Amino acid sequence: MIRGWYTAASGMRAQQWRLDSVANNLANVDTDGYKRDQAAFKAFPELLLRRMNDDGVYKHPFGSGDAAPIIGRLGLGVELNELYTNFTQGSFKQSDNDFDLALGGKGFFTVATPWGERYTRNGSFQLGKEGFLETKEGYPVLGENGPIKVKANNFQVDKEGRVWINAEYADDPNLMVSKQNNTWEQTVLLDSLKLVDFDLDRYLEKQGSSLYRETDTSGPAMVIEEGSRPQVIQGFTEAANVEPVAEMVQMIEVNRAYEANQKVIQTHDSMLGTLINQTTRVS
Amino acid sequence: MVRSLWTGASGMIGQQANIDNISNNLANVNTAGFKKVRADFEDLLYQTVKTAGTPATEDTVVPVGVQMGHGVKLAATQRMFTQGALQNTDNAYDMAIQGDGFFRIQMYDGSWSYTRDGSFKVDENGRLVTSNGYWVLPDIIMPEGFLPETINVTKDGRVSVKVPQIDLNEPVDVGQIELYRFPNPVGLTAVGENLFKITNASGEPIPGRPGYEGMGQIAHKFLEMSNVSVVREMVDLIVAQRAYEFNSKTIQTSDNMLGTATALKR
Repeated sequence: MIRGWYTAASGMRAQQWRLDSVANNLANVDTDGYKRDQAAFKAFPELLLRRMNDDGVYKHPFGSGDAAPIIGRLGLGVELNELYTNFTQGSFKQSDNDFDLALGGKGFFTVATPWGERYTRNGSFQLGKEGFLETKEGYPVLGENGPIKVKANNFQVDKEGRVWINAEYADDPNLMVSKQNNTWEQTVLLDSLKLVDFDLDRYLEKQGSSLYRETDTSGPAMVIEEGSRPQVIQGFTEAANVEPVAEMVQMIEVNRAYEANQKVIQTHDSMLGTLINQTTRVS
Repeated sequence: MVRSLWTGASGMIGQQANIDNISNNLANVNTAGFKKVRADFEDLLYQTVKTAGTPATEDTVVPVGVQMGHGVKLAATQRMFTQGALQNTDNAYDMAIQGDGFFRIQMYDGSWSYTRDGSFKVDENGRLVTSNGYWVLPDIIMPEGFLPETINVTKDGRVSVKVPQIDLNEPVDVGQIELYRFPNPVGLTAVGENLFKITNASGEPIPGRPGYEGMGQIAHKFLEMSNVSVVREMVDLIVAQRAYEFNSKTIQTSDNMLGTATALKR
């Protein structure tokens, strides 16, 4: 009887976790490069129920032993097993800004932070005053040969993630160029964006600020060979892959499941009340 | 439960900032030289509820942890310095920059700021000033008795005007307009009145003559309109409003569930 209380309470707690993840998905519905989290549940390990009121003695040629016959299994409720990130592609939003890059397909940009390399899908970068391509926090975005130093209007990324510049304007830091005047006469390959992937990207750890960290389970970051890279699209950002409708439906589900579990606890409570206050009344 | 309340609240606060920003863009849709601003969001910190790698049984470990997010934050408001459309005004004092660069303006306190808005005027001394009376640098002073309608500005910024007392046919050269560029114009800070000031992030200004070395050209008798695209802002407004509603539903659901939990005890 009392055991059912805890089973139902575990159900209520699990639904709470689920609402927390739905809330985070909906809060980030407009965050560039955000990937939605999905909650997965698992049952607690089941117990075997034994009949205890038989005299549990069985005889065999050498004597006897204790035994209580097994009558079945008992579930003890549910717990949150994992929250996994769903890396499906988000849609593209046009921004007409040269420093906005979107990835079409599996892969990540690499960012150098003071704590080591981190990975992101949020490609709304900017140009730092030193001329390095940076994230909004000011962490440099890495190419395969290190940070990428470019100039406004002298920065073209092709679909393969190769960065092209016009060498005329590369050396003198005070020499600027406008979009109309850049004739691209001495186009040279500066570097390639360091695009990486993982064996199991599902097990990457989210860090906030759109950054991911590798874990032992995800495996190390592997630079993707040219030819199998995700498409890099300049002038676009990738919208979040949150499906508001699915999240709203989940929210309704959570709300009702929570109530159903509450009813289980209330029923137990009223049964116990009946037992104490009526069945065993002392007149 | 209470976490999801605050997560929903962070979403609503973020979208509120988004709408504030969109409304400022729309309010300035007809402001000369205005550059639109985009709000960029990022997810907040994650709380590790279950750490990956902890023992699950005697000889296995939990392969993946549980990380619960806490919502969203405004990461940056990024100004987009794309070219606005040029509009012909037939006003001799109006100038627009076609391409990169800013006019340098001297404030009352002597400090410098920068603008793309070239709707200039002339004060009582014949000096070229902005609509608010700040001086345009380098100084351009019209000679006494000049004819305003004869002002001419070339594409590379040379200003000349005809003065009847001197010579009705030969225009007088009165100055050269200089433009300034920045390594990272996105780092400039807006101070209102269409003016920008330099910051540590923008880098130092690089002077140049209009039309040379990638600097923009001067289009005389034109004004640069704002680069706000009304359609784009409207779409963003719809998205922001709906996102705001979704997050309010999160808060309602949290509240409902809290009510359910409270109702356990009769």
